[in-house]
Amino acid sequence: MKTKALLLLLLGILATTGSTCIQDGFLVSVNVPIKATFPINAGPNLVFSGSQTIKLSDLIDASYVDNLKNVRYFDVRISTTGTYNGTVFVTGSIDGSELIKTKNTPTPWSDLATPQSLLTGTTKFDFQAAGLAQLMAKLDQFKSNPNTTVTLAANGTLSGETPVPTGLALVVEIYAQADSEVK
Amino acid sequence: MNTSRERLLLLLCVLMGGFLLLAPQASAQTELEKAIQQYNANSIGGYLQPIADLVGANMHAGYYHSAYIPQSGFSIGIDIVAMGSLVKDEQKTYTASAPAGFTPGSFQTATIFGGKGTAVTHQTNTSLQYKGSDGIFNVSMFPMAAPQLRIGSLYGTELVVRFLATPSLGENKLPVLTFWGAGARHSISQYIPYCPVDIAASFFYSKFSFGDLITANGVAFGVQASKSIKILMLYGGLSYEKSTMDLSFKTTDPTSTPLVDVALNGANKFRGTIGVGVNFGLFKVFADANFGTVTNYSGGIGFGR
Repeated sequence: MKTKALLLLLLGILATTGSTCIQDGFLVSVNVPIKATFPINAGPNLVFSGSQTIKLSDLIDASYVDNLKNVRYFDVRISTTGTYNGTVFVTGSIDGSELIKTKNTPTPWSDLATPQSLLTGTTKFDFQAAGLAQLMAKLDQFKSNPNTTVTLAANGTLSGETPVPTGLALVVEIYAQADSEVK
Repeated sequence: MNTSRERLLLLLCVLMGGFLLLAPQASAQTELEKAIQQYNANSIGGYLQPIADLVGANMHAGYYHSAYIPQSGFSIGIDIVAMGSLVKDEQKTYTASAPAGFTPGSFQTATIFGGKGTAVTHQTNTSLQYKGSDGIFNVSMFPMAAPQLRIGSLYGTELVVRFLATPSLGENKLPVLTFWGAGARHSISQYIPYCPVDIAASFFYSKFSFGDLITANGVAFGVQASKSIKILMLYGGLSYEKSTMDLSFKTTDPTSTPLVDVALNGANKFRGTIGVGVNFGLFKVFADANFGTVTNYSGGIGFGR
């Protein structure tokens, strides 16, 4: 009987090994990829604008949402898709605060095929303190309010090739991380 | 075998089968799997390399506790083997790559066996921060275990099979684990007249899967020797082994290509084993230490020959 009891105990240990060695309340750095794509209509109109509202909790696994401890960003990027033989002047905003703006000289559209990045630096755009502060405020709010949304908007002007060809779009991306506690 | 021993072996077989039934198919993703998906191909290797090293060492441990294999005649034995690999301090942190363009470009943070993940702040733009996840396992020894069956003997050869499947553990933090291995041992000393010790050669294949994202497999070739002194069994061996852990998942990292497919090689290549067992007839207790790049201990109890 003792041998059988020992066996059952050992097999019980096998089944539970692992659960006892897990850190209590470990933090996972969860990617929060905020991305808005603004299609530009084909045709004679060279002025474009658009906005998108994004619910931050839709960007991460639902199980992480209620246990967020810190949220931060590590890059803001702007890029274009499609081919256009001309220049672009664009302003991007977050919740109405200016976030990113082309420098005074209009930028060749083709130069933006490579994403312009806050992290790697860009000679084409200025990143605006007001927009970055609004971004940080919204990420901070997300810790306690899972319904937090951000509205990204872009408006600008093309010049050069007319009419505007099909398939053009402007892409704004914010790379952020949220620390979620797994209990 | 008397009735009591038959019942005992029957109980063990039922319990081994019970583990099969207990282990459900993978369903919702576990916390470990979701944490892994936050990494990209460059960073996941450093975070999980210690698992590849320690699982690789564990999966080849405890296959034998004697080099004696009868030349012929039916024999059967069942062992319950537990094995654990030591987690070294240097396996608790790794040098992670920060996102492209970040200064500094790398930083020290926790592996899956580490403590708190470290945040790195951009040198010139201090509003930009990047951070690694915390460690998940808080152990100084990474354990595994498995029941195994030994069947012989044909021309001095025995087969060894081990299997364990567990359900998701820790309230869905860890995924379903499946671990199996199989191999054969062949008596060498049967060809050497008056050999003072028993000698055997072996080959084992092992496979380990941890949910849908992690699989590992390995092979080990080795020789063993043992000497029985009354109820004591002294044994040891040398082996060459190789293991690889494959990681395949879809990352949520926007800076990376979506599909990550990475292979991590286990650190252990050669293993020296010394061990001791005590035989109480058909019941045995054994323990051994395994030395290589990874230090590993295994031990257990055995029933049958």
